[in-house]
Amino acid sequence: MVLGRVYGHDGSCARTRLHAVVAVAQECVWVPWPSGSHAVGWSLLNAVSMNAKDLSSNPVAAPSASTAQSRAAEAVLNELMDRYARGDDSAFGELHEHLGPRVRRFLLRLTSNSAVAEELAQDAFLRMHRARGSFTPGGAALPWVYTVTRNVFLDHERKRKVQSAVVLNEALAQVHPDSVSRQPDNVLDSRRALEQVREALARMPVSQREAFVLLRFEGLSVADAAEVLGTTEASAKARAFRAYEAIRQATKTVENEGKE
Amino acid sequence: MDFDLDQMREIPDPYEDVSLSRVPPTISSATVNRTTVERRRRAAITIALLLETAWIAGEGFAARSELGASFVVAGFGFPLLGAGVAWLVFSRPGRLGLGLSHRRVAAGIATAIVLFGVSALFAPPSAMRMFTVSSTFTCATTAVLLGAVLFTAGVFAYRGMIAGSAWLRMAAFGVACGSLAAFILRLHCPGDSILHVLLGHGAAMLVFGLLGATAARRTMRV
Repeated sequence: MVLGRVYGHDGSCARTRLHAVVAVAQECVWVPWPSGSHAVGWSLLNAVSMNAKDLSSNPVAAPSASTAQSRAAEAVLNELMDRYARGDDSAFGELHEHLGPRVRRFLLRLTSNSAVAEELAQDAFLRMHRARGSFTPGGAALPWVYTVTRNVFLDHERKRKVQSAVVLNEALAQVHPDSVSRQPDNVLDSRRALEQVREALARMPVSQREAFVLLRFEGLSVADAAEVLGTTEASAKARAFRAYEAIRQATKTVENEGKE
Repeated sequence: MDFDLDQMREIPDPYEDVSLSRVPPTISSATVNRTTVERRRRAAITIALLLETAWIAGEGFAARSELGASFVVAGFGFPLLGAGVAWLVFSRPGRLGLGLSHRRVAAGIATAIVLFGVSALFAPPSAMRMFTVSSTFTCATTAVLLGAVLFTAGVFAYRGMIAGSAWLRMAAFGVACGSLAAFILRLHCPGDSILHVLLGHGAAMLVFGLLGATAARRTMRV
């Protein structure tokens, strides 16, 4: 028996939701937390929320937990969404707890602006609430949520009408603040690289940006990303590839300038 | 596309460590749940079909005692089958609940249109074969009105409820409505000139297919 802890991106441990994991080969069996079956859902959902990269067969999203764990977490999320669609309002809080960070981060990656991302996230959740009755029984919650969120973003883009200028936002200052003091050179390079990635993302066409974000950062499989984007797998992959090339080109230019 | 997704790993995530708000939006509980949505859909579709049935009952069938089996199957059956296919590609939830893939929906739309086109080729020998603009225009108007009943019911039942590929799915829905209208009209109209059937009876498919595609984003999409 292995006692497991769930770690967030910031390294914090979800001690209050600590659960026991019985690992047999690659299969994980989740032992219910004594306070009730809800706690199992919370623990599994944290695995989904805290690690966006273990949800699919996407090789870019290297799973840190087992596939079985991810599947179980997805199943719990789908069940929660199903409850919500059936009219259980209490499920909204739980859903928001777990989907909120993903939705906000997804929008931040698309908009490069935290204020806009926050505003759009609120809109996305309101739309989901209004349309919850249309969530298909047996459907997958995450692709549905990503699709609705993408719709909100696309509507925002249409309203804006002008091609987004490169927006350097306050987020940069928050990247790895502890390591800055310890390794200034590395951090400077790293910050420059992150800045380049952000600028390249903001500059590229929306179709490429969203494909790249879904595949590289949100951890969707090519098939799922294609469905969210409403296109074919080949097209989704091609868009992501063009985005990747654009980012590579941008970072190379900076590297060369640095050498000169 | 020979692109290894593994290559993308080298691109760092510029937003990975950004702290984000966790404030949920204020929601009202006055939204519809799944049961209400399904009930609304059933009611809308039933009412629309009843209205169509009432129309054909009131207007009557064309006197067609001479009709052969091939005409009945192709002339009536194909548009009905096309409507069924278009409806299926519109309404099937697909693998993730986001609807069928673009290719399948497009194939369904194409199938419905081809079936309707083929049905126009079948005409009974004694039917009125002369093409006239006025009769074709009358039939086109009637077909659009018949289709409008179905389409309006669909918009009412599915408004703001389609998450993925709304424009294409609504185009399929529009074609389904038009195809069903063409079927109903053919039960009534004895004009079997190919051009008359294609233009007069098929007008609703074109109108509602395009209307569905263009109106989907504003009215139907989540």
